[in-house]
Amino acid sequence: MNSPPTGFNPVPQAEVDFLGTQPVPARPYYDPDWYELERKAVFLRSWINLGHVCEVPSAGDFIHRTLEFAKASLLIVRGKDGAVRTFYNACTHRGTRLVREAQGNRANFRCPYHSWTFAQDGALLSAPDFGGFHLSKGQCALKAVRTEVLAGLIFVNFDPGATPLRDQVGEFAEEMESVPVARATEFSEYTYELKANWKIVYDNFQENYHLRFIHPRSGLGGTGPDNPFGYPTRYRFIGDHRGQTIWYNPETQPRGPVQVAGFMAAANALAGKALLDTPHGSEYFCLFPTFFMLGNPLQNFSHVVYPIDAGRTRGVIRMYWVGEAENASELFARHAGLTMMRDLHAEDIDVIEDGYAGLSGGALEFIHFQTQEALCRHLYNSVVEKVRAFQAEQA
Amino acid sequence: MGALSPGFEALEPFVAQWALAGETARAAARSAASDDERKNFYAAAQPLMEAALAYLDGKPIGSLGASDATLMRLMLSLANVYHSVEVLGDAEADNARMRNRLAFTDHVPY
Repeated sequence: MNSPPTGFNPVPQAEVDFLGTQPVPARPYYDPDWYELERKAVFLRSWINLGHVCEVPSAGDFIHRTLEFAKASLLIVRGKDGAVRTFYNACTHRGTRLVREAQGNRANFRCPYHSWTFAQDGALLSAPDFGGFHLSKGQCALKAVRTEVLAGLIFVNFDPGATPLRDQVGEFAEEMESVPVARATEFSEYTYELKANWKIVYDNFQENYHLRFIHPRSGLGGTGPDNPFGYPTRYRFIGDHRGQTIWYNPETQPRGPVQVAGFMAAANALAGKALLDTPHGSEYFCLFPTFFMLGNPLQNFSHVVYPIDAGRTRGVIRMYWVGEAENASELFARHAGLTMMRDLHAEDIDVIEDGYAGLSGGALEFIHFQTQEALCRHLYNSVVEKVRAFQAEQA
Repeated sequence: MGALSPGFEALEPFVAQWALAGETARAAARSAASDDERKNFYAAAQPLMEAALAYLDGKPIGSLGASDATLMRLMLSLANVYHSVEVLGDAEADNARMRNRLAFTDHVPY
């Protein structure tokens, strides 16, 4: 414990001056009218992570997802040609949902109502008594939603004119491709629904100021004498996207024999797959508007925040794994890591919901972000910019 | 379920409460247990962890027999309960109240 200090220096204010320092209006963090603007200006125009290619490994595999902000039921389908496509889960005859189950495999998609049948690429294959419609089948393909795969992660965008995600995120693309998620074949998942605005949820997971107060025991290695708040060593801003480089306390010791065994088994399993020493393991990627991923191969989790309405938010957290666990030790290690992550995420729930409860009645005109809450300020600025641009278009 | 293999008999009293299939059931068991139940399970299982994992590592993970699957599930419960004993301590109750809202999507064989 007598090692020399790591000489940690927090990111200086000068580096984030461009974001401003003024108080931030509180209303966007609870107001339903503002959320309605966000829905159109942000969510219906941004890339949203809905899954991973490992969920649809073979032709005909599909997953069915509902996005509340778009009031959309979506089908993500792997085609015979290997491409992953997304369609509205709505028969083009009269809109009936084609699929109810969450996932499965279909050679084609037949509407239960009048037997219109669609191929895996969305083309209308057959429809009984079709001559009476005075249409061509080409006019009746399933309605597609733009789909892009980055690091194995499937993103969709309802805006036909949106810039490709890969072009938006710059250097993050190559870095994310180097993380185990890009080669993942399975995952563990837990989900939540919280009574809070989506930005209050999201902001909690992009600032470290709270770590020492909310995670004093479970936040292993996130804080230390040189860096009592566990601030990051770097912030990056790429358009509307952002990231931080995580600081780890070099003095950290696991707390007990099971935690030690879990870490060692996890490290052994990753080393055996050449996944332990990856170049971007300290990066935390925050893709606008609602996606997070930690690059650390020992804790390679994604976290997506989906607004339900102005005051309710749904979340999906996944830890991604490369290959099936090869033995009991690897399976044990995965579960030990999953436990750490879930227990840590649990600790944030009260303060997130209390944040919304405190604001939602209009108690405050402004909230405040300090230098080391720069990512929260950047999210706010990006949202406001999108909403103002949308309003200008409508004017 | 089948009796546990020789060497692991000391875990028999914990099978009913902790040898559960799926993350959802194991997480619920941890949250529902008393402090003493968690500590007693940890105290019995932790000293056998190394031997149990070494023993199970010698078996094909995809097709464990009934008694080995029971031992695997006990170890996976240990991989959950350890965090309350080794890390959270008296913060476990508050953590349980909040983490019960983080629902697992089960899709693993054990």
